[in-house]
Amino acid sequence: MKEYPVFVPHGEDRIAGVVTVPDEEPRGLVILMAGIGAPRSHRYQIWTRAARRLADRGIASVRWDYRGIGDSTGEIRDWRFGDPSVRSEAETVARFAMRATGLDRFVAAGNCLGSYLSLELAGAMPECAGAVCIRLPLLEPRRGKLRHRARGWKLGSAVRSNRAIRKLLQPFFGKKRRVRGTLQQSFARALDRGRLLFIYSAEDYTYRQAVKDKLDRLGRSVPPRLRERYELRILPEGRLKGFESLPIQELVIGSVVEWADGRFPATAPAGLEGRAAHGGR
Amino acid sequence: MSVDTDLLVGSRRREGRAEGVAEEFLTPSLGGGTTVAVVARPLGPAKPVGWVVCPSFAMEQIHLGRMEVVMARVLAAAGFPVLRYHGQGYGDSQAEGAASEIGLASHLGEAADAIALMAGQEGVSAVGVLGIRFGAMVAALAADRDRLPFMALWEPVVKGAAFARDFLRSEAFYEMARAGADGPGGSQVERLRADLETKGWADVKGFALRRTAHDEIAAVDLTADLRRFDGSALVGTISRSGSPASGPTKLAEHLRSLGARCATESIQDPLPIPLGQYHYSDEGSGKVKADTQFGLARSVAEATARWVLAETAERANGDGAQEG
Repeated sequence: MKEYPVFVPHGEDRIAGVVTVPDEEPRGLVILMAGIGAPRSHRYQIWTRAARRLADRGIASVRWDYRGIGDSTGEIRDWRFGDPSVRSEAETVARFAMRATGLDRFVAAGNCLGSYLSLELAGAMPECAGAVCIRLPLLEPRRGKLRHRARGWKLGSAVRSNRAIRKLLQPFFGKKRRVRGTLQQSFARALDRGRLLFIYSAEDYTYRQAVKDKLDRLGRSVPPRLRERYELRILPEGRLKGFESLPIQELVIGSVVEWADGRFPATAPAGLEGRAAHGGR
Repeated sequence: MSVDTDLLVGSRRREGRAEGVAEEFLTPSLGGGTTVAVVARPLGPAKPVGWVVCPSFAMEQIHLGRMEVVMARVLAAAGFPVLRYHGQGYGDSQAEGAASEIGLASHLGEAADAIALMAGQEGVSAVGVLGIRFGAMVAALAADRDRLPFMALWEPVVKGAAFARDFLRSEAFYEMARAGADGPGGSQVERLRADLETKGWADVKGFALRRTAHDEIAAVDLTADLRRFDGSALVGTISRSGSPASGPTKLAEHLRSLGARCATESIQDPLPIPLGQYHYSDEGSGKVKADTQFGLARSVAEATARWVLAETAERANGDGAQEG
C-alpha cells in the first residue's frame, strides 16, 4: 500500500487530500468525506483506517479536506448543506482520483455533510456506483430563527408544555418536514445506476420515525426493480455522532469497507479502465 | 500499471502567489513511524529561523488544527519556514489511534524529530516552537529540553493535572447528555478512573486513553518543570474579558525568573465555544453552521507573526552587535 498526499487544483484553491493505492492494480476507488469541521482523516482516523483496510482488499481511496478545513486553502465561515460549491469540490476530487488511479468508477462514503455529498455525487456523476450515507441529515431542519430563540423564553417553555396550545399552533409550527435540497432527485438518480446504504443509530437525533417514513416513501417513489438497491441499517445502540466510542468506530469502518468491497469486481479490470460490478456481489 | 504516480508525486506541492507562500507535503519518519507533514515557506527569500508547530492532544488535535494551519501560513508569508505534522496515532500517521501509545512521551518524541527535521532544512540556522493548549505544553517542554531560542505558547496548559481531570470529565458530560439527567453523570469519571487502574486504559469519547499517558500528563507543572529556558517566549492568552488567566501569568513570571525574555499577549474574544472544542455552531435556522473561531484564528496568527518578526529582528541585531 502507498499513500500520496496531494494538493488538487480547484480554481484558485488547492484541495488537500491523501490518495491511498494498494500494492497491486486497484480494482475499485472510494471517495471518503468527513463531517463539517473534521479533516480528511476524520475523527479518530476513521477514514485513514478505512483507507488502509480498503487497500488490503485491493481498493484505492481518496480522503480529502473541504476548502477552509485541514490543509486545503480557502476560508469558510458559514457552512450550508446543499452548497453547490462544496459539491463542486467533491466532483473535482473524484475526477482527480479516477485519473490518478486509472479507474472510471467509484463509490462515495461519508457522514453528515459527507453523506449529503455522497448522495449528491451518486445522483450527479454517472461514474458513481454507489454511496454509503452515515447519519444523513435527510430532512430540512424543523426550527426557524424565532423558534430557536424561543427555546430560552419562559413563554416558549409554557407553550411547549401545554398540549392544547401546541395543537392550536400546529398549523403554523408543526409543518411536515421536507427532504433537504435535491436529495429526493439524487436518491432516484443514484438508484438508477447503483446502490445506496444508509446507516443511522437509533440514539442519534438525525434519525427518528419521520426519517424512516420518508426513506420508505422515497423507496416507493422509484420503480420496483430499483427498490432493492437501497438498504437502511439502524444500529440499536451507541451514537454515531462524533464516532465517540471505539466499538462504533470499528462498526463504521467495517461497514464502509465491506459494503464498498461488494460494489467492485473481485479482480482488477483488464486494461486501463476499471468497472464497477453492477448491482454488487 | 494504471496508477499515475507522476501525477500523484507531482501534486505534493502548491504555490499560493497571492499569499506569497508555497507548501509541500513531506512523508517523514517522526516518533518511530512514517507520517504526513507540511512545510510552508515564503515564495521570496526565507529568514533563517524555522518554526515547528506542536499539535495538541486527542480531539484537540483536530479542533485546533485549522488555527495551526492559519498560523503556519501567516508566518510563512512573513518570511519563515514552518513545519506542521501529524503525530503517531493522529491524522495520516502510520500508527492508528486505538492501537497506538499516544501520550506526552510520544508527543515529545515527535516534537524532537520534527525540530531535527526543520533544523536540517536548507537555510535554517535556528528553530523555534509553537503550540496551542496541550501543544503549547509540549512546545515549552521541548524548547526547555533542547534550549531552543524561541517559543510561542497560546493558552498553554500549565498544570497537566487539571487538563487530565477535565479530559475525563468530558466523558461524564457526554454520557449525561446522552442518557439524560438520570444518566451516570459524575460516576462516569470514577468508572473511567477504575478502567485506567484495572485495564490500563479507558475509552474517553472514542479516544483510547492509556494510564501511562494520563499519569505522565497529570504530573506536568510547567512552572516547576521548565528549568533552563533562557530564550525568547511569547505567552498568549484568549479570553472573553481580555484578561489572562492565572496559569499563563505565573508561567510568564517563571520564565522571566529563568532569564528568558517573555512577552505576553491577550486577545479578547467572545469564545462562544471554549478553545480546543468543536467550534462549529448552528446559527439558529438550522441551515447554517458557523465557524465560531473563524476570525480568532487569524488574530492569533497575526499576533504571533508580529512577535516573531520583532523577536527575531531583535535577536539578529543582538548577534550583529556581538559580532561587531
